[in-house]
Amino acid sequence: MMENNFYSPNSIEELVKVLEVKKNSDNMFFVAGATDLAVVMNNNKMFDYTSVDLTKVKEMRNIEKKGSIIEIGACVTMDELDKSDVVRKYIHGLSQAAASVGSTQIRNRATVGGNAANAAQCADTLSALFAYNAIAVIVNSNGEFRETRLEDLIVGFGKTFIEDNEALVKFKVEVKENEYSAFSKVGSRKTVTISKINNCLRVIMDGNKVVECSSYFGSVAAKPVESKLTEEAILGKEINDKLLHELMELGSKQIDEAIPTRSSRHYKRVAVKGIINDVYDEIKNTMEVK
Amino acid sequence: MIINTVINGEKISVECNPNKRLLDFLREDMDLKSVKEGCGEGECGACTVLIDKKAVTSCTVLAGQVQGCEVTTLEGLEKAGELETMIQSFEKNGAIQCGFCTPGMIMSSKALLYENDHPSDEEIKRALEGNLCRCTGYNKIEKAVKDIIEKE
Repeated sequence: MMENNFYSPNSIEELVKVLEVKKNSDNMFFVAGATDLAVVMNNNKMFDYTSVDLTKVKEMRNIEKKGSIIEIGACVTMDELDKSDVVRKYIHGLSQAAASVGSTQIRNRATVGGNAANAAQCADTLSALFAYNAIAVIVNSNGEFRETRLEDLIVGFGKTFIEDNEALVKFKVEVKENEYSAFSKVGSRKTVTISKINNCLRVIMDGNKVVECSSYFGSVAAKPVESKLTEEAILGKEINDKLLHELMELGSKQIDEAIPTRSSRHYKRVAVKGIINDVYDEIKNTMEVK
Repeated sequence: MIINTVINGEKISVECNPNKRLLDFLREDMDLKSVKEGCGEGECGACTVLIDKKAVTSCTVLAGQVQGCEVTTLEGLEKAGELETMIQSFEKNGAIQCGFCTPGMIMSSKALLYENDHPSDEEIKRALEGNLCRCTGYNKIEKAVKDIIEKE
């Protein structure tokens, strides 16, 4: 009988016990939707490894609103995020980002925790989670929890500050009154596409003026980049066409600053105008409906 | 590891490496050859099967992950008498040429119909966006799915 090469904890308590084993192993990997891991392992012909399947951990499967905080389990799938009434209503940009990931088959498996922990530069949900200043909740092998800003946890290009004896279990997103957000992306085709550039814009309104704003561009660097230029330009303003044109120009400038030497800059500084237009229109339309 | 699962309505317990892809487990261990390997990266949809009535690409699932779940392949639809009308509609509409993508197309269509028995054109397109066909084009496949809905 070979040694156990597949752990499938059903609760955080069981997960903590597995973390105790994992911290001493260099050949043990978390698997959630497996949409990245199964492909990488197969391409590298790696079959002799140990998996920790997180999809059965019940505490990691829920979306729950507790007052102004929405908790999203790390194993909530893209399809669940897309279809959740709570996420659609309060974190619209995140639900749009999840809906834009891969195909139906991939959205049925891929998880929001996997998208974050895999830390690919093209991870769509990261732009939205960063725009909401999401907090990551992590458990370690002693059963202790720590919370950190997700943006501080992600390094990018596949790296994070999650330790070997830790697991990302959920996200906390604070939502506010009169808050609106939208997400858009462009890739090389219309659907089932990997972002070449994406944007999530979040604004809070007081009357017809923007009083708080955050905007992140994904797929332009190791992790989503905060678009300070557009954020500053929006604050205190009314949402109208004049502002949109200003934002489109500033978006290009922001891309020039973010990736001054990369050859894709010439494409992205133009493409960014289209996605800024998309998110702006989406937010404007949602306001009109309300 | 012994994998306990339900495949095509039948309870099974099989010794298998849980880190094997579900695709390989179904083809090699369960001899279910309707499940095709295309790209092996979750892009083409040829290996689409249902897990608890949801479409997934079996090349991006580990065999151990279907423990306690219900897996359905094209053979399962045949067994349940749900395949014939779908095949007929695909044939009638010229939606099959080489046939390699067909099992995946049918499984994705079936998952859609389980969730929504009267999908719109847009919903059909979205359900099939992860299935590639290099022969017939997509209009005929979409038409085949619409015909199934009308008949039902």
